[in-house]
Amino acid sequence: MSARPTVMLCTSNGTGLGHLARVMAVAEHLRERADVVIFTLSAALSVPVDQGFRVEYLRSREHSGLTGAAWNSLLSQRLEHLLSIYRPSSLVFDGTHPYLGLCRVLDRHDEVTAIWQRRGMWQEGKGSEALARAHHFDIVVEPGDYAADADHGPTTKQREGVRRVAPIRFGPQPMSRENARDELGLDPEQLVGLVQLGAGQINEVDSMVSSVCDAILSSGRAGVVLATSVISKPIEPRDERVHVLRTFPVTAYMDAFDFGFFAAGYNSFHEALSLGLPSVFVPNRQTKLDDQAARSRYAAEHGLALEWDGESPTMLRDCVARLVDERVRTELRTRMSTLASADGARGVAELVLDALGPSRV
Amino acid sequence: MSARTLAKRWLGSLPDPLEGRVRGWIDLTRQLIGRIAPRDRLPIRLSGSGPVVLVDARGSDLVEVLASIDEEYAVRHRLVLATDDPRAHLYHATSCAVIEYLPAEATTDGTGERCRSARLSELSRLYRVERISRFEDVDRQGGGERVQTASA
Repeated sequence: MSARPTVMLCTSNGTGLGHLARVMAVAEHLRERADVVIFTLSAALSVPVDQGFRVEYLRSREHSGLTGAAWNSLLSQRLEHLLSIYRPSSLVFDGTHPYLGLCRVLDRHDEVTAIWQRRGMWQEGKGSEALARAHHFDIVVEPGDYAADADHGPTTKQREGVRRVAPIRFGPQPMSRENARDELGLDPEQLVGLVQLGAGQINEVDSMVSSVCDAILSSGRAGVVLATSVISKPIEPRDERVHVLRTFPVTAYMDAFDFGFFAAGYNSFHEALSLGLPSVFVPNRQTKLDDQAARSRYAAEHGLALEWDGESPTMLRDCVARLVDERVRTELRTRMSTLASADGARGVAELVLDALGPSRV
Repeated sequence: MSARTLAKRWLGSLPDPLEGRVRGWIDLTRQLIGRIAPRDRLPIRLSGSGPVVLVDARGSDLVEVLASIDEEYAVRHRLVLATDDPRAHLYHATSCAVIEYLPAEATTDGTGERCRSARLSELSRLYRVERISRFEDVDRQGGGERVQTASA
């Protein structure tokens, strides 16, 4: 039997890779001192497997064909089984909705330190039922958000006892611009924009992707790399000048690009800003809970990035025209350099290890 | 501080004999509740008809496994496929009733075989499996009716 403690990191499915990326970031810091098991409902389980993590998977309610009650029973049974095998000292859940099946298991296992890692920026008036389940956990920790000042959602009213850490970013430090461009086969001298508008699981992004790529290429000033999600079907760009990058995370290649167009989800937002890439954020307004509109508006109002509403062609052309201007990019980079480091994963890992106590680490 | 933490601290603050007694009452209550409403022990009913067969296909390429399952056989049985192939997008719209991901290697305590047995036992209980087949054993028999041949 291993003498090291075991920590189980659980994620909801979500619609992208946000939850999974955050727990992998925490897991990277835990690895040295604890055995880590990632239990996910995400269809992107190949991502943590490829990163060398031990992964357990259960199909999400949406993919199960089961009723809510039956699926929660399935979740409870799977969790009970995994707890009996791995005997974790701590269980960290990253998700906005603690499932009933999870809560029932936590209530039966007070020997396990239960930690709810939930980001803020929930849409106003939503999520109260989920927040009411905080009492099933020993600790609630909130990863920071650069746009936290624009957060008026329900989590801001329940901050008592909540531990707060810096924003969390998953992924390696970027390789040099020269190496990244070489690996991607990009012209070392050309201006290049990265387009990454989300997993395409919540809204239909294909037409938006085409609009952005067309707008950049039409400027005649820059090339395009289109980052496609590893969990959505491959995209065939209509224009052969568009390079396709299908990898996760893209952070290793970030310095290859001069600017980017991103969905305003937690991960992309913090990757781009913390790595200082001049960006346009495009809020997805179809999410259940994440207030992407508030996040991208905040960045635009504070000179950290530009914002496109996803519809106006004039606004899109204006964004491109500004981003190919070196002076604008320099201004944005200057603003971004004042932001705190996105190393909140380290803080969460320390919190988890502290909760284990000195004799268990 | 959460109610959960408060309850745990209160329990921890009790003198040893009393803490043990209270924990005993709590465990007993949980067992009683569990007997009255055992919702977390209920097997999962798979759609379709026919005997439930678990095919342990770990170590095999999932695309090949799915391609080799005889369709007629799959219609007459409910297949629970255990795989260590993490390409979850392949788990849906197949002739299997359900595909379950099981990690390939040993658990953190180093007892891989015990873990493997435990996982398969759990799946057997959960889905009321009637037979378990190793896909690699099945494979050796060749032909397009591999699963059918092994399980018949």
